[in-house]
Amino acid sequence: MVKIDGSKVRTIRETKGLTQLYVATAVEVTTDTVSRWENRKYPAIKKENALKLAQALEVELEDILDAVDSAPTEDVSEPTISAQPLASRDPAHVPPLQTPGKRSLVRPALALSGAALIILAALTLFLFHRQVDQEPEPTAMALQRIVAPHFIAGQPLPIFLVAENQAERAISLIIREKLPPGCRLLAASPPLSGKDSDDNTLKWLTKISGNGLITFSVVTEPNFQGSLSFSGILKEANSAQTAIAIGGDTKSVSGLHHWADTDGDNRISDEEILAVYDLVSGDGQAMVDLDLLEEIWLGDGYTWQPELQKIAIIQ
Amino acid sequence: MVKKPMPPFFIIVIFAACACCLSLLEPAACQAAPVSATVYLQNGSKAVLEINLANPVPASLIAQIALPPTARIATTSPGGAKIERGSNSVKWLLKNPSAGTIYLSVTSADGFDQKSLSGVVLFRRQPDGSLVKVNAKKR
Repeated sequence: MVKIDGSKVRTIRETKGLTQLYVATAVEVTTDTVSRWENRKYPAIKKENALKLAQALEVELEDILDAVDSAPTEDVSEPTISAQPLASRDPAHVPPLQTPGKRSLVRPALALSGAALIILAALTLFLFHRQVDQEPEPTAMALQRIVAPHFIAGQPLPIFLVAENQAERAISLIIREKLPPGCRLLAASPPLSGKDSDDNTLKWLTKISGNGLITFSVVTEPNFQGSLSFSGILKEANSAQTAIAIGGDTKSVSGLHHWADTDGDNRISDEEILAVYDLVSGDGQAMVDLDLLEEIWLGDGYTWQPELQKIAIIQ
Repeated sequence: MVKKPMPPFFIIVIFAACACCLSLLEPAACQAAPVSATVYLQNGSKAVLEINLANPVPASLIAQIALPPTARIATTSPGGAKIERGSNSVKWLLKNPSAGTIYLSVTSADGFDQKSLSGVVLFRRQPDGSLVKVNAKKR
């Protein structure tokens, strides 16, 4: 058990814009537990949970420990036999089952049995640890980022994170997506679980069964020129698996073409509009101006008017 | 009378035969298109495109009726369609359609021949997103 500093935990969590639900899910405890930890001055918690808590808060363990008594303490409240390693048990303490006259035979037999037990226990521990130490299996979840190759500065640019869950169960995911410099978040669906204002990282804690879509839209200043580079990671919540990078598109360059006009021919073709509708058929519709897109498709093309900061549709 | 059990060899042969039949049948089932269409002329001036959708239904599709160059487009049903003067055709964007039959029509101010009528349905096949073009059969 270790003693943590409840007020430090709360301060760090609030500074990083994390919810108690996010932290609770990452540590695999209830939100009530997190609340209790934060409200008590120096609660003693399991070291394993303290490590997970530090990981969820993205700090070192020492940063959340009680400064006065940061040395780990032994838990004397719940001593259990199963908690002791089998290998440490002393066979000499096993009460001997002896019969008069057979003492000399029973003792070596007991010693042998004890040795066999120790070897068996050591073997079991070795196999257990070998299994634990093995490289974690790759996650059954894959996340691909879809971002248009170009966008108009000052106009919304949607980014789609398409999740493909190959497992039969719903998977809780922690997703972190770093916003590139020069742009700001307009909206996100599902709503963010947290946002790190220091490095502009968006965070979601979401459960996905089958295929899912996470959408967010960003905007730059109208005079922005250059490219936006996106990066992010995903990790299964409640899992020892390491975080993996989000795949797919990473870069979008400012220009004079609507983001959905992927071939840059100043019109929205049948294929281009179908691609957008296929992508946002579920929850992502709010992130995209579908009316404008359909108007452009219905017309004969469009031009970007920088002085008016608007798209003119050619009828 | 004791019935003689079937030799293991025959059991293996039967299983192999069943597996072969299933492997032949399965691709046919998978390739069944979820979209089929028929185009026809009604009352000499109304072109109708009948689209049959089966599960899994595409998330969206585009349907198009092309009239002969001489037939002037008067009305469309449903409205809100894209009229392309160059090809004298009408396009509809159908969003989140359900399985079943959809009827789309164009009425011309002029009578025309069914031979010069055509219909097309476009959608993206999942999961690869490739564009599929279904030419409507003529009735």
